[in-house]
Amino acid sequence: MQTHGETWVQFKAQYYVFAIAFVVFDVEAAFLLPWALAYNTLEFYAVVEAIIFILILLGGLLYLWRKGALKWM
Amino acid sequence: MEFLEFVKDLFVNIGMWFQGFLVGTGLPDVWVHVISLTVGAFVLAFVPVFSLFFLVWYERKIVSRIADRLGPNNSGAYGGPYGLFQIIGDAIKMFTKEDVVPAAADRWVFNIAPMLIFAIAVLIWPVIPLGKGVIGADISLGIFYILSLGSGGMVAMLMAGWGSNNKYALLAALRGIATLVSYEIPQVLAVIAVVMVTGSFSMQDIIASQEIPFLFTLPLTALLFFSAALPELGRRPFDLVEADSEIVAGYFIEYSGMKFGMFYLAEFMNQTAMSIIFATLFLGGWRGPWVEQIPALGTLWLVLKMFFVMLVIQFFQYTLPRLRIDQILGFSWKFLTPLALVNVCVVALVGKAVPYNAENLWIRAGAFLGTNVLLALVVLGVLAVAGRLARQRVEARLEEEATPA
Repeated sequence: MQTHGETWVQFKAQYYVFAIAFVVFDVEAAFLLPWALAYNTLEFYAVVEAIIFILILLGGLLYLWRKGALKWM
Repeated sequence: MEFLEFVKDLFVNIGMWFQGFLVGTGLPDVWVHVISLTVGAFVLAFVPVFSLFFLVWYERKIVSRIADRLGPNNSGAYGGPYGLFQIIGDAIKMFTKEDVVPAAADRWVFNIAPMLIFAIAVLIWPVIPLGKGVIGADISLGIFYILSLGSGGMVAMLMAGWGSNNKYALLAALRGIATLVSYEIPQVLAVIAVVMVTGSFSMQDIIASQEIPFLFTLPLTALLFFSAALPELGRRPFDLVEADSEIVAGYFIEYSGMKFGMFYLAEFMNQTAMSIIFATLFLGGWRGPWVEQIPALGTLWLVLKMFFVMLVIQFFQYTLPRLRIDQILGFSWKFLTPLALVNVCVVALVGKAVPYNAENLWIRAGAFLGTNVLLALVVLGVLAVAGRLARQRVEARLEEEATPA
């Protein structure tokens, strides 16, 4: 099927929203990686702190979900 | 008997014999080191490429059996036994096709993309432990290096799609990147859970800490990793980017000849690499019975595990229908990512509740297994309840619409 018009089109904004969400969670994962590496030598409160961190970010994911940033693409 | 001793630890002994031979020729030490490393690098780069011949045949046989046909068993007069040489025919065909570059394409980007993707596919292999002492480079960042290479693949995909000057290619590349990016997070989180239990990124350390393979102690994590790594490979049921009937070969459209061959090879090598990584992380790598006495047997166990994982991947590929892009992204963001985060929390809590020491190994494994299974059951329960609510809502709406009529 032939296409017409310029090829290098302006792409859908929803891709950008997904990329931003990815950046946020990837930075979170990047913070969790050294924590996971040092896990065996840490005290219990470090685990609790990390769980609070993860819960805050889970709250962020829930916010994204309810705001509709994760749909239609 | 001495030959038998040599064969028992085959690859390490070959390496040491080669180094001894080089030293014996009187070269200075630096040269010995450089030459042995170069030869090792060549071997490591070519072994996966040449093993592809057998693996492509293996995949085709499985695919055809799933589709209730025979597959390559005797491709004409040149097929070779059981159709094994069919792949060589394919390779020759790809070599001899004309290399077409579209006139309005972005030349540099277009030409470099296949090289980049192939380079990345090969770069994974040095870090994979093929046996007890057999590894290209046992860097302490093993699994982290592999995860970062996945991101390099994304860049190559975008280069291929953008440089082709073709709307189909561009759309496919963007969708492919949205998919890859969305599934990167559950994959990293599943690896984080494994790294927590192990305490190190190095692949050999991960294998060494798996007296009981992680598939049995962390089954949910293994499932998460598998579900998240499968779309990274770009294969059905997630193959939006190369859906033959929909987007006309996706971002490979404008490639022909050996460049297409590069993409094809790289995709297959990624599949093989992912199988081996899954086998290393969750199935115990080269561990198996009798490996202490005969270390060379470790490679055999690893290859068998890799074949098994590839078999499971093929089952997914050829029995499930293709998913839509919004279904793919929804599955990742709404299901896998929260589940992966909760899984990390649960594994963290259990790991501290039953701390690691040599006696309560089985208790620790049992605790991990128990909480993982519990989490899986809770998730299934939540899904069941949510499904029932959704169905009730739909039925209520249908009743509402039906009653006036």
